[in-house]
Amino acid sequence: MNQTIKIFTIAILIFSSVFAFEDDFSKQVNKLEMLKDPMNTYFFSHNPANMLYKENSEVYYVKTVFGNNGYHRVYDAATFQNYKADYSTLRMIDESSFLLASITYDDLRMKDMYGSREKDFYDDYFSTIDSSGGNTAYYGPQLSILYNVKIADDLYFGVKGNYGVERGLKDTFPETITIMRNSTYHLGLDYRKESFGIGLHGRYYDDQTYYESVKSYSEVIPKTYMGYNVIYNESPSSTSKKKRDRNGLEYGGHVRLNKGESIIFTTGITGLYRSSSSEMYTSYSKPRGQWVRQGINLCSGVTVNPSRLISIQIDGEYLGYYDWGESLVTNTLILENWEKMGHLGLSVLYQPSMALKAYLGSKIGSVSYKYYEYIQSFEDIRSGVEWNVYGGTELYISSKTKLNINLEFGKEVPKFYWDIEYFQYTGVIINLEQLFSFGYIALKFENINKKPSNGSENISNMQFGLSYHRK
Amino acid sequence: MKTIKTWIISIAVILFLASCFLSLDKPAQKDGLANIAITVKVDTSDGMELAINVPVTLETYDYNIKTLYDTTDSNGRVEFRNIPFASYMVRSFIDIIFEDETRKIGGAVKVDVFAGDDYDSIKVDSIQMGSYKGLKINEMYSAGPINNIFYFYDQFFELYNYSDTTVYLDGMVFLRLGTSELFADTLRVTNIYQFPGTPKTGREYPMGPGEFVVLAQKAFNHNLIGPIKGKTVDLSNADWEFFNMIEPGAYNNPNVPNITTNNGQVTQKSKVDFMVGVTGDGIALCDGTDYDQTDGIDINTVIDCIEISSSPTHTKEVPYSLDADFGGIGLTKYSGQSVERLWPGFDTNNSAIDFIIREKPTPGYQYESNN
Repeated sequence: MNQTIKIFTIAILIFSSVFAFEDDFSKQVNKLEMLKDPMNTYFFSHNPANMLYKENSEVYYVKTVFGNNGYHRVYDAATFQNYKADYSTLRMIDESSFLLASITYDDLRMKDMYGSREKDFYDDYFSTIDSSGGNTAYYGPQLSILYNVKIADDLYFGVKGNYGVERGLKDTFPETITIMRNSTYHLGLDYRKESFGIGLHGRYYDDQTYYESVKSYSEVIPKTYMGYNVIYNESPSSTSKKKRDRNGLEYGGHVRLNKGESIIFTTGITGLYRSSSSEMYTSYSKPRGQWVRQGINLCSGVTVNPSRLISIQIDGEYLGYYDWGESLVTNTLILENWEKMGHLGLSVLYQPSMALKAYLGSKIGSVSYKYYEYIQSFEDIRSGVEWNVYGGTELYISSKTKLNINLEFGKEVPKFYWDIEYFQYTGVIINLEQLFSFGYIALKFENINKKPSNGSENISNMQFGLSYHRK
Repeated sequence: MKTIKTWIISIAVILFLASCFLSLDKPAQKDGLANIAITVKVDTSDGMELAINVPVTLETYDYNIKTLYDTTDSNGRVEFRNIPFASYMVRSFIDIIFEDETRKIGGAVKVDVFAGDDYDSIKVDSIQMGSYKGLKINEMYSAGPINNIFYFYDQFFELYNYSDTTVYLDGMVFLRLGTSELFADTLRVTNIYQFPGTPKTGREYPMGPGEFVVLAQKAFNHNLIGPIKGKTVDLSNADWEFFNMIEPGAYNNPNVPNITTNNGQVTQKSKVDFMVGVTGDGIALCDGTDYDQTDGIDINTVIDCIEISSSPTHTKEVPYSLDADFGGIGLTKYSGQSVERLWPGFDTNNSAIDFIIREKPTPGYQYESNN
């Protein structure tokens, strides 16, 4: 790995959380993987101009996830299983450009979804329920293409497009059919010099979801939540249709300053504006609600490499959201939500030899949520301290066999869980990789366990993965 | 250098344009700030008097929020403050002693409160309480039992004599209504059926005070049909059965007298039995002195008229003078549900107040918990 690549790898690592904007506060990040592999860090950064080319590759990956929400909210699935297959390929086109393409197919089965028509009920303020219980299966492909080109000396341009279609079917009457289509268009520029770098990017996001429930011999009784407590009663009908549109724009930039490899300072800012609107319709449209999210994310970090053996990283992050929701039935403001999060982290990477790497890190910070509903006065105000401690190692058991282990323990303050104060969680990732003459085969095991503070049953999420990385 | 500038400018323009398309304005007014003031009056022999210290309920079908309760003050006024913007039904019921008899009277008003610019506004309205005695359509069962074979032939209508005297059904007509003008003096009719006998003067078919009478679409035991066995009603002992005299092969229970159409006096085009919409309809009972529906039925001949609809957005079909508002919102087809008056014969000429959805039909009797 040459010096430039190393610097940018670390830089992207520090920026990683800046660009993971739509996600909840990420847990279980395999720090060592992020340090080692630009591909992985790219999937956090999203800026297509930041993508670094190493070598042509092809990866086949299958994964199974088993989730058991022993403790869950009313409209969360009790259990779920996800079967995923993924193929990605990275190809150099010429000396100054390369292309990354991937196709993924998901088959997600969510069980005991009480009344919910939504894949993620708590991800929207205008979710819909009906009289059904039962299970829902979601399945569909996603395509992704990234093109990165060096357009001038030290200046890179990247463009990325994502397109996904998903179909869902609930197995009990009224058998809600869901068709989701989403696409993102991401542009970025990255100017990289030896001692500094600057980049900016923008991402446009478009998501359309269409729901249809038919109960021909009887009637569907849909209800639209306005927030999380008040239900708007829809008219029963033999066919109930709903449409949800989401659009968003994310834009940001970053700066890196460094003195060789010994000290690297980075800072970045990202802004987000996203709107979502929902409408029920029969022969005519009946708008129900729209909500808007505005956010800002600041992130800075300093990485110090006092010797070849040790790398120390200190990073800080601030994330702030503001949401407002409008009822399009009454044209009034019905909810507001503020979220703030500030974290400070420290991690140390120790690399005594090529065969062993070990790291240890911790993060601590405060979060606060203020959620207000106005139709019928309701507020949920909470704040608390979140922290986690993680550590891991990468060990070559033999010249061809590599073992990764990552352990994590922490506490998080959940949002939109009304009756618990915090979750305590533990996570384990074990990755075993074997080199063969035809390529790498890796087995991955991951387990996350969350224990709610009210003593209820745990939430567990177990994953098994198998990948083949062609040489 | 030119290439770089082109790239940067292009990206900036794209992002700027995208921002413009996305921008939405946050509404200035919060929900939950509506106010309603209601004055309640009682219709007495001395005219309208303020109803003091009477309970008033406020409920909405729009949301799942709880019914609010309050009591009128010395001015007969009650206020509900900081409530959601919605459509409300404000009701008040009391027992009064009238001519040594305890009578339940009530009143209601539908109040729509919309968000406006004036934040501190208060919506003012009034309720005039009363109730009307007489022969009433007490129950309408139209939704059909729980089934997946589109079965709704077990429909029935129940009459109740809420008066102190015997009434006679002779020659009366029973109507399924079409859409009339809301201030019209005639009713548009879809189906017309008639009791035998002479209107007004006939004395062959009496109905005593406090008596229930069941009019069945088809007077047989519908529980004998396999898929709905045990889920519906036995109408084999109904008091009356609808019968279209030009319906080929129509079912006719010989033990149950008929209310007929195309009988030489009342006529209609439809060759099928009397049936109403499963999620509601307008129906009327008239004295029979006007039975020519071709130019509409005179509303002065109406004895009772109701309008039921499951949908709150239903367009009203019955003139206000006969029924101020429709009831049955939330009635679900093929659910086995029925709509029945709150108390036997209770009538304020407003179906939205008078009727309630019952989970099961009650042919020939009132739902038990309200007895």
